[in-house]
Amino acid sequence: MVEQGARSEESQVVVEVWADLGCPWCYLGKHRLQAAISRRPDAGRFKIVMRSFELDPGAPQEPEKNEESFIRTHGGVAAQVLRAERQMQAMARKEGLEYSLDRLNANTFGLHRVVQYANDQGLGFEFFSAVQDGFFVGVLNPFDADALAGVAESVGLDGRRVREVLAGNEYAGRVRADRREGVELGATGVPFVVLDRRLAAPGAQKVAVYAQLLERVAGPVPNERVS
Amino acid sequence: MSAAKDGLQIVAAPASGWCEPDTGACHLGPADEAVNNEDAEVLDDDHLRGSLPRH
Repeated sequence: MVEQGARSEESQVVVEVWADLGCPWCYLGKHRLQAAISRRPDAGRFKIVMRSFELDPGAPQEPEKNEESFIRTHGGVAAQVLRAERQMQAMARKEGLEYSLDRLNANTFGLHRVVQYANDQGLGFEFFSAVQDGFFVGVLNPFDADALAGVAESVGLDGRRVREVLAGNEYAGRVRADRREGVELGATGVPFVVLDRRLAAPGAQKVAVYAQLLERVAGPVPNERVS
Repeated sequence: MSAAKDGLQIVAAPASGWCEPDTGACHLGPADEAVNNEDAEVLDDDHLRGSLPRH
């Protein structure tokens, strides 16, 4: 068993995900990627690393209603927003995901700085994923420092450090550098998933596509383990 | 890490949707969402396009 563990560790595959909090396709894409990974008996080989991609740097610091931010970034009118959002909600539900239409949006630069802190602790994906799920389910205001600190503690991070990061400007350079690198690597769409620095997939791909990409970088799905 | 950028292949399979890096606008992609997600087309080499230029 020890030998198997050692071999598994040696062949770890890093999967980097450039994403932003309020990006609906990042939410769906993340769950599809997780589904593709979890179907493999060697799922433990894959390490998802969050990379920051701020999609709306001009977003206000104060939260605004989802429809307000949608119209600000996309144009259109409220009826169009609702139609598009209901379409996304239907897709999400088809995939077993909750998708609240009653969300607030704001600038995510601070959140990304906290994600960078979480990355340093090896928990960037766990933290971002918990925040994003809470946001889309409609049970979390991710623009509230106490709420973010609470999520951080729930995944094993130091809530006090989260408040410190949010109060200052730590990790700002890394957030900007992540975005630059994503663009340099060819991120024509977000989410942007890079597997083992060999394959990259812009946009939310289907589960089967992610599964094939995993196979290309990590080999075919191994036989079920014999206990 | 920059050395690893060389040879990165970009998947050209149609995405279900994406958000634009420049504007943040989000789009529904050409992939048929009416089809069950499990029925996605398979990737072949035609779905991988060029490598990035060297940095």
